Amino acid sequence: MFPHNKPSSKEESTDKNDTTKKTLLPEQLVYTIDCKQGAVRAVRYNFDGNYCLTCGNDKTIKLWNPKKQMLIKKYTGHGYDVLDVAGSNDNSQLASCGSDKTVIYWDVGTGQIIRRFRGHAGRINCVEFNEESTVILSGSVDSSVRAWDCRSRKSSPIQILDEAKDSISSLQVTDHEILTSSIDGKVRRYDLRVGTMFSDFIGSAVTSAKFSKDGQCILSSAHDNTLRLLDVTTGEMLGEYTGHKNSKYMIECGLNYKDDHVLSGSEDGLIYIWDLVEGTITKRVAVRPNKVIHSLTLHPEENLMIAACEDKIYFFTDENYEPPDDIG
Amino acid sequence: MSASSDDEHPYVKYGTPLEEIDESETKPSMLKSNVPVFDQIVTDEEGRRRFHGAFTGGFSAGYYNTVGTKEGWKPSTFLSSRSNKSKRKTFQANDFMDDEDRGDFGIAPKTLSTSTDFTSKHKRNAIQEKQLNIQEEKMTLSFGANLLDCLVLPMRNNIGIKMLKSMGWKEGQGLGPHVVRRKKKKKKKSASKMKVYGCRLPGADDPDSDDENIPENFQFAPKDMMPISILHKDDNYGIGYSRLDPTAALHVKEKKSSAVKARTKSGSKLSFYGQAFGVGAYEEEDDDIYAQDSMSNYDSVMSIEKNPDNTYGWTKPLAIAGAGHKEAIGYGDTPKILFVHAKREAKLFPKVYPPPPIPNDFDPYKRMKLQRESKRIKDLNLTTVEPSTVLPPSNENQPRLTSQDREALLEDNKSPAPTKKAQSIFDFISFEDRQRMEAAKRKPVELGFKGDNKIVEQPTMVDRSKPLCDATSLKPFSNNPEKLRRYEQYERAIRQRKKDPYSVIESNLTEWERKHEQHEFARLSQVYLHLSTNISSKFTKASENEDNDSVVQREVTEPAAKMKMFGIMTHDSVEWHPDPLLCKRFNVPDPYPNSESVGVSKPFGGFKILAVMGSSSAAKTPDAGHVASEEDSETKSKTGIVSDTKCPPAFNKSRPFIGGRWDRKPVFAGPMDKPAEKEDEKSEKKEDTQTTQELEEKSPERPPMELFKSIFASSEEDTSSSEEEKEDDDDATSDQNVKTNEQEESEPVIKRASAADVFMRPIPVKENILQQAVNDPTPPKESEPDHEPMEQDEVNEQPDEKNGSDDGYFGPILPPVRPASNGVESVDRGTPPKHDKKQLKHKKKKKHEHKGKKKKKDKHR
Repeated sequence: MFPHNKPSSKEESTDKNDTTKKTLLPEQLVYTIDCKQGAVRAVRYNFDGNYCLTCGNDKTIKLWNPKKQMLIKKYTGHGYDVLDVAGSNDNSQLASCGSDKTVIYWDVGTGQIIRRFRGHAGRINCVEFNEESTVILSGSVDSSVRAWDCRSRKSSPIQILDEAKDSISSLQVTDHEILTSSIDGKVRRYDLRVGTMFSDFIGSAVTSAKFSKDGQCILSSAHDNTLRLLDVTTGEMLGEYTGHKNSKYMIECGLNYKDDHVLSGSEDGLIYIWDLVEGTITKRVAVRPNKVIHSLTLHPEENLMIAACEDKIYFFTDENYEPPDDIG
Repeated sequence: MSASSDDEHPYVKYGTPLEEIDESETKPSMLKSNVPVFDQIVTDEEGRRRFHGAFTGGFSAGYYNTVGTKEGWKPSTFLSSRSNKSKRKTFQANDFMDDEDRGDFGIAPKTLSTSTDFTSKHKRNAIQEKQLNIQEEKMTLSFGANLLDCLVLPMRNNIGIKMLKSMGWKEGQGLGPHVVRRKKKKKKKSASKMKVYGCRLPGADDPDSDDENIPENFQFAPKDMMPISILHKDDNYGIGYSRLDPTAALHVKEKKSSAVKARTKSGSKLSFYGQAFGVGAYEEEDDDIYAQDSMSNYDSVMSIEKNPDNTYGWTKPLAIAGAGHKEAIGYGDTPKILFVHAKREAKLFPKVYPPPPIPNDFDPYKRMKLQRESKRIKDLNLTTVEPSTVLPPSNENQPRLTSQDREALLEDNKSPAPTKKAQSIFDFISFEDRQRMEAAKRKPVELGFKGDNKIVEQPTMVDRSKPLCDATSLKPFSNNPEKLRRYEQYERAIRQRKKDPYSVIESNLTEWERKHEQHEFARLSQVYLHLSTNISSKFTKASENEDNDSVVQREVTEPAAKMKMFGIMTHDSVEWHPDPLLCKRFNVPDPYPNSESVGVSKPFGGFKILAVMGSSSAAKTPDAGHVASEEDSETKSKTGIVSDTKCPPAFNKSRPFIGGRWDRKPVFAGPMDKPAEKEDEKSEKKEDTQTTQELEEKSPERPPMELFKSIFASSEEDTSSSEEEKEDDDDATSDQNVKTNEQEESEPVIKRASAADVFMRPIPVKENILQQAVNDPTPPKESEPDHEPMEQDEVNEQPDEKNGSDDGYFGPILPPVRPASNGVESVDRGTPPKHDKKQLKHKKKKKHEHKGKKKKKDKHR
């Protein structure tokens, strides 16, 4: 199923880790899908990583089976670009947002729109479900994060988090925390359990912020060509990752499923992989020269990565990866 | 025979002459072939026009091609069915047909043709009959049972037959490739060789005669065979023996099953019993009515019927393919059933497979997989790869709590927070780092609180357990902590809407004192609440936030971030009240169950540094800070940290809007009780005394609108009036003025400071309150330097604002345009960044505000 054709221009750069511990990285380009939906604004794995979602310039969302490289369904209903999409944890609903300032709550099976949440004053950059998929959180250019209730028929948001001074660039929600990154240079973490908003000033516009798997660190990527790993409790910088190019676009970053490597897209057409502890570049994966790799999603449990660049999505895996047979 | 006629016609004529034909007229009638197509008319036998209409070709219908009849629309006869029900005519389709319908092209042609009954579609051939018979046999003496099923055949063929038909198969034929009928000839020859005596059997010759007519090599379809239904023999009787069915003999159940049940229109049940349809009352009934069963009905001898039709049936497998076999088809007079031992032991009963075992951990209920759970599992699995050097080992069962978090949870607000934080800060930061920090700041924040020790003395002011209302944050009895405590209790009681708020306070005061105090508190709270609501309605949070944050950012966090000193300098925490519903949806207990507000409120951990530095006394930096501030731009010290207070959410949520005459300004918000008050003290004191004096003159009951007017009038004096005051200014403040003129950004903060003074000032209710101002060690100064440059700024900033019309813009004010130094551009996704519209909007809005301000100013004048 997986043709192992190596990318021709793969750079065998600093392989320092070879001697110490060989950690497998999603560096092998397995295949490419032309999504045929204009520019792919974002690519996302679903909750368990069995499916992936792409949202495109042509107002559509597409649901894929990445292992079979198969298009499952197409969701139409947005008025403009779809900028982000998230799947609920029971895979039965989707939430998407876009330039039409609406958040749409979809039924996966039928493709029908369950709810449409309006209220943001600007383009909505990011959307997330909470852990139990009862609340949709959306972050917008209007510098607010809104929490929409999926359970009630209320049209107004449950709460508006308008502490940011500039647009919200990314969101992440855990069981009791909401992590937002904003262009105003801050990463904000709302802890519902403690009832406190923690903010960390990064300095430059933050384009993406991600929790580590254990929730102890925040990885943030900023417009000064730097990724930073911050301690959640103290805000201290634990690591700094440079070398890539990120000064213009909203480029996403991520941690691999083992939390030992940092990955980020770049504006020079490469995907950079750093060692989390040492901060050195482990790998540069060439995707498409001189194009911006803006969206990146990592499989929650396996060494799989999907990157989006222009109108295509690229699937990466490690060399030892074998697709499981029991894929429905 | 008249003369005249004679003249004209000289001959005698007989008969009537033919009319002379006019040639011109005759032409069309004569030459019928010349009738154009569109004039030709088709008529039926009776001369009625058959087709009419331009294109439709509609048939003639009704009465002269109308839908009516000769009588019109009236029905020819009306027969009431009431009286003569018996005569009721039953109509058939034929009754409504006319000649055309019965004609060759009608729907029911009378001409002779092959009906569908005889086409192959519904032809029931011999095999089907046989099948039916077998089915009947299978029914084992059950009379009438399921007979209907045998009679009723499916309308449509099943897919197998359809497929076969498409391949050329016809019903009655056997399956397989066509064969040349040669064997029969052989058979015939062999038969002819045999000597036959007597008459020939009549049927024996028929196939031969047929064969003779058939040319050589003509292929035939193979003969059809009866499918053998092999039944599992599950009894111990002999082969072919079917026992008597006692139920059939008793004839009890079958009656019911054979009954055809129906329902009449009225709803009553109808059921027909009997042998079959059409057995009338006078007809002979069938035998089975009495269920007499005789042994003659059963076969007593096992034999094969001598039916010539029995060519269908058991055949050897080689029947079709066996070209060289003598007896390709094994039918004959002698039974050819061969018994062979079964190779495998026949299983009497079909094997029943047990259901698959259910695993012990099978969960029939689908549960949502939670993210965190999976993480936990993963964490357990990945202990080896976890970079323990970076990530501190986390106990998953416990939430990650810092000391501050725990403090928040325990509501341990008794401990003086500032000093605590001071310890934490200076634990964290080494001395060298602090030095670097100071250097990085270039001009440290003015941190001291000279003389204003009341704030430092009152750590409880950062009490975050209290519900947040600005009225509570006013601390009128700062010199009397006991009374302050009582007042807080009183406030709380008011907020809980208790009827007698003072009654909750227990104190050891005398009755007279209590009464006195109650009165005092009542008035005080009234004034304060009024103040707070009024002021809060005037100001928005955005500007204030912007000020604080931008200032803090500029002063502390930015250099820290640049120096990669992430940590305390950049980390900030603010009390944030999640919506109760949000907590519910997140399945998290509400951290503030009694809180009425939602969102960000008072900071407690935020702004630690300044709180620390202020409270950790002047030994730290204030002097140095002053020096630095004088060296550097004055505005920074001024705009410098006034308060980190963010507006309590009560301001945002339920902000009463009071009239239109108090325009909102991006000047002030929030309670002003922060220890980090950085206002220039001189001006503060000055205003302090000024306002108190004014307030003293007024009666306490007077609505505070006037008070505000005076305040705002003083704060918004134009430059001419302030010039007089300027003369009285001391040098430092005048210097400030000059510098602040250049600094436009400082404007909102200054304004806020003035408004803050209002809050901080005692209210002329009681001497106790005023006492505070009087006791203030620093002598008030006369000048009011802060407000004057601000006015100039305004004018400078908005030179063209008069042109615009006042559209009465209200609503939250978005933060002003960010300084360019920040270098933050709006970020696009996938496309090159553009300027946010938002920023442009801000500019617009700002203009509006200034316009409003101007107008207001005029009003006051």
